[in-house]
Amino acid sequence: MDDFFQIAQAESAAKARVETLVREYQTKIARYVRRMVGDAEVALDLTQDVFLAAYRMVGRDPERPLTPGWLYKTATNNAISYLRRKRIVRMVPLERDTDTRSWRIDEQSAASMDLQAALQRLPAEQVSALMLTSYSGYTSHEAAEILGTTPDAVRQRVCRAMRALRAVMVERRDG
Amino acid sequence: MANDCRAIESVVGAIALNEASDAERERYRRHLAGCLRCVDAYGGEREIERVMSTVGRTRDEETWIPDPVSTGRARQAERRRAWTIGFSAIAAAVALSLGLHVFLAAGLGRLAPSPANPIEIAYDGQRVTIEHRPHVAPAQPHAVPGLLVERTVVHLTPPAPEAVRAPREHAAAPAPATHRSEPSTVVAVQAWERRHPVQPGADTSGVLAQSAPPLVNHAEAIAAAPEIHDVAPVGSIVPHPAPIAYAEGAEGTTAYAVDVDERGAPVRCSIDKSSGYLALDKAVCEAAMKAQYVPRTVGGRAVASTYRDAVTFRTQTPGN
Repeated sequence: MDDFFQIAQAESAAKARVETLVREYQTKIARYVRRMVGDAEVALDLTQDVFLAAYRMVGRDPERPLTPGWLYKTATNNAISYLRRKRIVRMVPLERDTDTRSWRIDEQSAASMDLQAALQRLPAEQVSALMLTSYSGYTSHEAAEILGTTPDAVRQRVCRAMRALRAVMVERRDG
Repeated sequence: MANDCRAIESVVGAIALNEASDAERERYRRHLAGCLRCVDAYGGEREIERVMSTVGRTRDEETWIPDPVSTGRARQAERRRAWTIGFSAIAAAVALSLGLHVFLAAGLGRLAPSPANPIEIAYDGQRVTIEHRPHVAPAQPHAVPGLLVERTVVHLTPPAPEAVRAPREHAAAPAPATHRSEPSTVVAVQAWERRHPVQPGADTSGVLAQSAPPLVNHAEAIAAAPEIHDVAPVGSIVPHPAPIAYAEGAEGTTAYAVDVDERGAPVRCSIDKSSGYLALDKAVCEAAMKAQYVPRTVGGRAVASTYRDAVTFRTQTPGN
């Protein structure tokens, strides 16, 4: 009987931990995914899948630690999977929506448009490295852990992403 | 040089992430001094920081506050609702199908009337309940040359006065003598009217529904009270219409009632519903008055009662 109560308490505590994480990170994760995939509606769906996976994971194993890094990792994987599916379906290089009339107000600033234009030229791995670090605030070591790679690889990806972003900004300035 | 440029990428990344050490920054400066390609690609340290600030600025300008969990729940609820509606529709269809099969398997879906499900029809302004009585009907319809006689049981609900119309032959009969010769038909209808007066302007259908005397349902009465045995004729009542009826192609159903006393003798025949032809109605009443009856018994004691039945005449075409 004691075991039963302990398990029930552990499950309850784990769910409370998930709910705390949801409240704290749902906006951050959704915005991160939106930048990754370039579509708010898709980002909502993918983010929902992230938290659903979190609830399921805690339901299966209440003892398993659930960290923000796990949420970002799952969100990144979901976004990369989505982008790959989208590429396969279209059979052409991904072109994100360039019709700015359908963009939200906060997507229409010059900085946002430059960033989005650069991101659409980049492989998903470089996008995730850039967004996890300079956008979400993780260090290259933390991002490497999330992405399952080395810190040097993350820095290299950030470097290439930065070069693409700079090219976009130069293009806009010149013409 | 190409290898140097590839190696310098991680240093550029470190500078972009503001993680570069002084030594790394110094290394980058030295590399830029000898590599115009990297100058064009990345620019100096300030340029890298300026470009990277775009990301931070974008983040700081964002105002989108999504609620993916609530949205997800709402979407899940929508999906659940859609599934519920779909399943309900399928379940209803399956239940309807099963019910129909059971209904048909039980024989309740037969369109033919039976004592269990008499058919009610509105006929000529009157409400008529018809049921087949196979135990009463003869093995073979009695065939009058040129005329087919079918036996059915017709129970008439009391018609409203305005719904009672004289049979076509009555209305069209030119000779009053014809009426005088068949007073029982007219008298029976008029007598019913006197028993059930209807206020002028009253709702006829309501009167029909409310003031209708209970129908005599023999099968149900027998089942409910086994000690009651209803009146029944001995043998078949076979009408023999006048030959003129054949020539005119007379068809129709005559519903009649025979008052039978406690000895089983017919006392009075009346036409509840005319076939429209006096010759047919007359033949029915004549046959009914000639027949003998087993009187109605209640608890073994014979009582006077009324036997109701109907005969349908159809012109038999040659070859049928």
